[in-house]
Amino acid sequence: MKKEALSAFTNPDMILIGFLLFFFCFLGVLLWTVIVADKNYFSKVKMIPLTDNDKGAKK
Amino acid sequence: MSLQMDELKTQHYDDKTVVHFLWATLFWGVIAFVVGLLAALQLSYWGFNLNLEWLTFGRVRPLHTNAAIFAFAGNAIFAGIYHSTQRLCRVRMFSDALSKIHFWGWQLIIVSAAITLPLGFSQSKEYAELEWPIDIAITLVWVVFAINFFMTLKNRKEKHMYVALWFYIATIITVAVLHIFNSIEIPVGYLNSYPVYAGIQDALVQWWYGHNAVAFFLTTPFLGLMYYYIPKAANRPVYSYKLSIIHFWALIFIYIWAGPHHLLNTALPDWAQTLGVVFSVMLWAPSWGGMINGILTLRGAWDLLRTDPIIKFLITAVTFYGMSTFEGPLLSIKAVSSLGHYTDWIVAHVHGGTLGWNGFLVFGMIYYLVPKLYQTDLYSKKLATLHFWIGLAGILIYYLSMWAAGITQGLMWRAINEAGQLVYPDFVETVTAIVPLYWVRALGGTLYIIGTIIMLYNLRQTVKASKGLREEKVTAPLTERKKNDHEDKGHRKLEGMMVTFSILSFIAIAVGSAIEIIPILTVNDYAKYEKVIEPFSPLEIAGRDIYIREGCYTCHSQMIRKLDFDVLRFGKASTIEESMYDRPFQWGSKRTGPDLARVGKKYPHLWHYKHMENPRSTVAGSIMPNYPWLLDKKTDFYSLRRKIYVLKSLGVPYADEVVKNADKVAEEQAKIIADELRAQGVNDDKLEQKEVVALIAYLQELGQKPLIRNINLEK
Ligand code: HEC
Repeated sequence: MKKEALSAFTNPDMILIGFLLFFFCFLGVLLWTVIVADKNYFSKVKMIPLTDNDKGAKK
Repeated sequence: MSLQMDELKTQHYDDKTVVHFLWATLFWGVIAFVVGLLAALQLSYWGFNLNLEWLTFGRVRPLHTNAAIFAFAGNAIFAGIYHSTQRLCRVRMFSDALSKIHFWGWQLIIVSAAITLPLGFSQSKEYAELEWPIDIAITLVWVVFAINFFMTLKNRKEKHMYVALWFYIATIITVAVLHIFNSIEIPVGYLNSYPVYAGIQDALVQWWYGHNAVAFFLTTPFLGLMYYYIPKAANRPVYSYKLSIIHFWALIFIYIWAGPHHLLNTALPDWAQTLGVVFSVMLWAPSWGGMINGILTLRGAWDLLRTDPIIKFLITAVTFYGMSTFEGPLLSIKAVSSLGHYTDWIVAHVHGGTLGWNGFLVFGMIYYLVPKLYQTDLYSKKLATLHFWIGLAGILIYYLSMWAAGITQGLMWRAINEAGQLVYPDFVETVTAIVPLYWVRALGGTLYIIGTIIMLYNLRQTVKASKGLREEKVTAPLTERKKNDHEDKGHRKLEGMMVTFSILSFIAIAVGSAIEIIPILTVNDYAKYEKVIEPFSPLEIAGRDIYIREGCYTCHSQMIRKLDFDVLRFGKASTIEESMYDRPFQWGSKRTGPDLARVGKKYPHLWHYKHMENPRSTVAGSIMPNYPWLLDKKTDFYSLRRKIYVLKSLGVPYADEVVKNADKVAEEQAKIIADELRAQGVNDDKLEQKEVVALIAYLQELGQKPLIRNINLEK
């Protein structure tokens, strides 16, 4: 019974597919941000939290 | 008139809801911490439960974890999300009514948890203990929250969705998926149910849930808060926006896979364990990327770390995030897990994360928010700084004591002499050795609570000196969002598209979940096997339900790992089929007491009877609670027919006569055990009706069931 159950469990293809999927998605995001990225754009959106008219934390 | 008022309203942010969630955070926070302290004290001296069933460790521990996660952290997340989302979108929350339903619905859920858990209504699945009616309520309230949030995004005036919002999106979607899949259960009463998954499947689904509750309830929303409040408090933008994009996608994709690291060296198949280890170790990279991004936001303003208590809290929180996410992958390595698992090292690890990362981030956020929302200054910066240092001392004392306790006990469990025998064969020896450290831990917790009380006083004075809450005006967006904007490309465009973005996040978490869980769910067809384990008898099922009600699993595992020293101490390693019908599974996660997977027939009935009445009467120095009420309360025979019926319909091979006469069958078995106990000197002529008999019946069968022919096949 144990052997039967275990044989149904082994599924190395799925692990490989999952890992490759992750790897290429990650690579995609990485290349995208590094190469296609527009520096000016990033420095602009970064400011969104800081431009909502409040004067920042009271110090 | 009312139209005018509506118009006026939409020009302001809804800060009332934010403030409600903030006060709820503080209220439930104190309760969660105090209940935690109560549980901690009971491990130093069992009598702190006052011999009351509602206060025993097994019932108080789930109360503590649920209160800390869902009441304290939950309300804090909602406060932060409601506050920051409106400002990042430059628009008021979509619906005041939904905000109200969300707030009060959530508090109602917490109250019902606070009532049902001490009463023993529990599914015994960690952080998912609440019973099915409450599970449904959680789903509904979460949907309300999701509608309110996504409609606000849809209405937003700011074109770009700032990184904090992505983390909120991932949180809302993933928590919904986790909660629904882990809560599929069949009711057997108004407040009882059995999960559809059994044994190993239940274990895997539960720890997929449990681990990702940490990931998507205690990490991603807090990272969103970090990306908003650290820039706000330091008044400078986040260090690297690029890094935050990589951080986000890598984190949500990898996190979802790591669940099996809670089940290392167990009967879980090796490939699933390996998958858990590999992805856990990979998690280290995005986690540290995020930490660095948070801390370096302070670049050029390091002096704030000295002068500003808010920054102190926030940056220390992120540092604890870094430490916990270093320790987590470390503990996921099989060899390290073999030492740390089941011990207080894990307790230390968790509290570094919760007290340090979650707690301190919340405190920093609240110290920032309250003066701002009430448009005044914090009453006392000095008191806030004092809170910081007392709290930090509390965490360090807690962490170091439990770390020492865990490693000490872990080493004692595995110590084997030259003759190949255990150096500490008596389990209780390894417990009494660390009891002093439990006292030290309680001191750490006390300090943390004192810090929180100082904070409450400080905030009260702050609010008292203010002119009350005034809702802030909505401000103009940085880049106005127009409908049908086609200029953008790639990720930039993606960030503008809420729906597509959400779907992609969903795919990212769904892939890992599916690959990990589906193969194990497909062996659902146990029914096809010729030989199966003999299921528990109706009386044993009644006993098992008592075991679950009392939360015995909070101190006892039922999973002997494939490790020499585990086998030497507790017997042959546990197999998958031994728990194949266990609903819910009882593998456990902590061994404050010994493993019970093979405790059956180890002692006579009378030993158990006395041990349940008072463990110290049979084992000197035990810290297990007394269970005198089990000797008085009557077993619920009546509900057994329904229970056995449900179990059979889920595939457990019970004969039809057993289902029909479940209560009678149980009573007969109870009579035999009761007679034996009476012969050994127990003086109780109604003994067969008592719960202790059902519990003994169950305990005596643990690890004793043979393989039998599968009667399901014969039809
Ligand atoms: C606070 C933690 C704690 C809780 C909760 C707890 N126990 Fe224990 N248990 C222990 C400790 C510590 C020992 C070892 C000392 C002893 O035998 O009393 C132990 C020992 C045992 C033993 C003896 C095991 C052996 O191999 O010698 C049994 C059986 C047992 N517990 C059953 C239960 C049951 C049933 C419940 C729930 C009703 C329960 N325990 C709840 C801590 C706990």
